Amino acid sequence: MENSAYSPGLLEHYRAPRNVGVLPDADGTATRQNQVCGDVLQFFVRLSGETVDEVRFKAEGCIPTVALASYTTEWLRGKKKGEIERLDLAHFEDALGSLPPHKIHAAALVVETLRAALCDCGRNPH
Amino acid sequence: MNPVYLDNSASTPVDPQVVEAMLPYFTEIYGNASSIHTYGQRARAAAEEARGQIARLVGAGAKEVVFTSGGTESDNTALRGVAYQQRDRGNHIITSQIEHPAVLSTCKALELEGFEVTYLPVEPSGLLDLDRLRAAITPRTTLISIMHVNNEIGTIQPLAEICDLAHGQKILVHSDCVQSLGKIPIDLGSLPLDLASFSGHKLHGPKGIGALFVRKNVRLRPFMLGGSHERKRRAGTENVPGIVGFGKAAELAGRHLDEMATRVRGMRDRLETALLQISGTIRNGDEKQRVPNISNLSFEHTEGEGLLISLDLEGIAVSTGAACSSGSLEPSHVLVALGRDKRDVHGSLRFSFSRMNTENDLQRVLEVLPTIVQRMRSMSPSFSA
Repeated sequence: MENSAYSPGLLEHYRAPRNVGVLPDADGTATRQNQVCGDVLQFFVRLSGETVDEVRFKAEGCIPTVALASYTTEWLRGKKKGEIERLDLAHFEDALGSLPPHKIHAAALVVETLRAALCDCGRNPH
Repeated sequence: MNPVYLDNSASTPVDPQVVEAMLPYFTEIYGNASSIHTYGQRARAAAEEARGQIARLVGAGAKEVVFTSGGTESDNTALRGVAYQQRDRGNHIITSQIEHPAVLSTCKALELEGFEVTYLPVEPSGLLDLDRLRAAITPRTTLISIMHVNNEIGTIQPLAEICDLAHGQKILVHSDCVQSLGKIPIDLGSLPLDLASFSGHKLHGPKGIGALFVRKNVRLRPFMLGGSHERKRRAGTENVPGIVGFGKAAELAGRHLDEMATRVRGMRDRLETALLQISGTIRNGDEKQRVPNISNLSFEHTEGEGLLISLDLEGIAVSTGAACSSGSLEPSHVLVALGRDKRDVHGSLRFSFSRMNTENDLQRVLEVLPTIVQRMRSMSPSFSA
């Protein structure tokens, strides 16, 4: 069965999320919760110099939160960590299809949590 | 894979017998029921027959049934109609925090017009505390509006006791009975409600048609103004096909009440018992005082929309009280009023049955839902097996 509430791209990532789980040797990690809807997101990041070597995530959240987090783990791998600045709602919608208006906060949660995990990298050398 | 529809509290499939009853009123008997020619009078006769069918289902007099466009209009009409009619007597209305938005939004609007509204909390079971109700009554209270059955958790409120309390102080009682009609017996001959709201599409009738029961001698100012339809209580040309469909649906619902109490309750209970075996699963609402077709459960460390869409992708339709699942960012006001932890509301699902469900439907849910819950928990940052 298909569901038309979300784009095929979002649903594909939701049904088969990439890089779910803990990264034991992460350089940085962060957990954030959307205080309104209650979604919880956690990112783990490992760097190789300034380059993102691996990203994993865990989430207790709605379709866009999981799908955007999953997409981000693939997209950021091998990129300089500063490239996170390219991640915004327009980027996500170009890649995965549009979000319903009441779901836009999912994009903000993903970017905020990932940025916090990257900031954590300098503070938490393993 | 056969689709499984377990969202019957949102809307029901129209019974084929209802469709059959309605069809002639689109193409053959299309007259305006207010017209005195034959086309009109045949439509009038059909509308009055339907009025009788609905009245018989609830033990009311036919003249006490006013057709509206649905439950929302019935609620608006009842609340505004009594509030305005009785304004000289008082300006205080009592309702509960778990009412349908049709009641809550109307009360909020009335507050802006100078009325005072008390929104009573409910117990963790979802039931109203009658002592709280008694304490909330003031000399200026003119109306108490308490839903018969809650649409999310199925809890049945003690309407007879509420009527006793109110009528002793000459206060009118309205109840949104949209979720009880056709699910459990309603006898307005013995239950002394003054006003009651009904909807057609919750009991295998069409959408866009509802009714308001207005007890004989209860006066209310009309909400919809215009012609003298519905004995000057609701203006607007009668939706005769919808009325005929609602009438037929009410007749059929009456014949299936026993089945709701036995076969449908059995399916609901078996589904619920099996799902409660999943660790970290809790029931929302009272176990005993509820309609036979609703089960509302919370699955810890999951998220309702994800559960809902995952089930939908398997062909199973349910609903959730989770935030941002229906265009709103707010979690279910009903589950919040029960005092549920936000995380429990986050992972809540409502399963609502009808007589058209089968044992295969619940078996299908049991085949797929435990795996979906397990998968979501394995992704949760806060879950440890």
